Amino acid sequence: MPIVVNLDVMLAKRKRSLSELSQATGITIANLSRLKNGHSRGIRFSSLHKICDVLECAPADILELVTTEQYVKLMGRLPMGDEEDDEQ
Amino acid sequence: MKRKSFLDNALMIIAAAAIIFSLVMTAQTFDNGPQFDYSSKHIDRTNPSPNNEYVRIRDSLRTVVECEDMQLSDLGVSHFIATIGLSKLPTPVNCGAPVRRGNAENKECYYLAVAGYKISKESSFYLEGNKYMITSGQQGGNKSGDSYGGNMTKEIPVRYVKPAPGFRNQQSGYILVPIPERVYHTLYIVMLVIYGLVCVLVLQYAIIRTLRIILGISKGRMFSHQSTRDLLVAGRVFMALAITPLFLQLVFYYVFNKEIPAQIRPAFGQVVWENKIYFIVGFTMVLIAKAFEKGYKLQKENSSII
Repeated sequence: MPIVVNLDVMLAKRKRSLSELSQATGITIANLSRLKNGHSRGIRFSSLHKICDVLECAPADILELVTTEQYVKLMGRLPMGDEEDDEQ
Repeated sequence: MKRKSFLDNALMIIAAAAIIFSLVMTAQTFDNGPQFDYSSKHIDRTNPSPNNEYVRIRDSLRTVVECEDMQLSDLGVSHFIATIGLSKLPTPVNCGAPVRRGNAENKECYYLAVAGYKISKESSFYLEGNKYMITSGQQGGNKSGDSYGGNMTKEIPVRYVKPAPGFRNQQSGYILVPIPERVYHTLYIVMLVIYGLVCVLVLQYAIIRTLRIILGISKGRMFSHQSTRDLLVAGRVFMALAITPLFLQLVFYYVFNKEIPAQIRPAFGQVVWENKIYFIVGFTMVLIAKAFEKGYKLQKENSSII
């Protein structure tokens, strides 16, 4: 079952923008955008810690476990890993 | 993807087999047996072999023997691509005969040449005028069980040339198939074209790409898709350079099978040995390319972890 990153939800709750988060955490906007859109394979604990610190939330607020069908509904495509298996 | 992987694996298996074979050959002592030695210095009078019989006959004609020896090791003007080539030699002459202008003996002979042939230990090739002769020892038996020997001599349609000392550091000889002059000139043009194409191929895919890889590594771009592909292509080119002579020799062997006597055999092992460096370089490059491919995947995966 894939994991969805609800970064934009938390950013909206905290009324902060992606660029502000980038400046505060030191993670580039490109990387945050990839994280938000589900184009990253994973996240380091250090990066998760920085994001949760800035947004004052728990990891569970950002990371959510969903079914594949829910993931496809949300993101409009299969999760990373499943796509590459199809290509091969 | 799967087809390319199968090809690379097949090439690596062939190269590995060739390298192991070369190592085995290195470990063995090369023993070609007593070669036909025209020099009277090497007569073994206690051994009644066809070699010594021939030497005894020609013993008094030392200069003739030396002349023939030179003819038998002279490839003339020759051009080769891998193991196949073209040779132009003066017409074999009766050694000691005076050379006259306009003499038919001054004409040139044109040949299709292929390297990587060995004459058997019991046989010898020689020239009789402009005829190509081979003599070989035969062993037989009679009803009472006694064994006896003799030699058989026959004319053959092809010429055998043993390598001159130091020529391309080769130990195997050459088969020369006589061809008409027109065919020689046509094949010569074809060979020039092929040679040009091969040069471009080697320059582009083996040299320039290898240099590009080294340049990329020096700039810190080690595990990139481009360097992996370049390494793989360069490795395949080197493997092709190694396998092509063997392939050409096999084709030649089957095409001219009837013309070449059984006493002159293709030395496939020798061809593999002489091209061992291409096998080693090609195998190493493909192996490194596989490692780079894995490195590239790991790097890509690592870069997609935030």
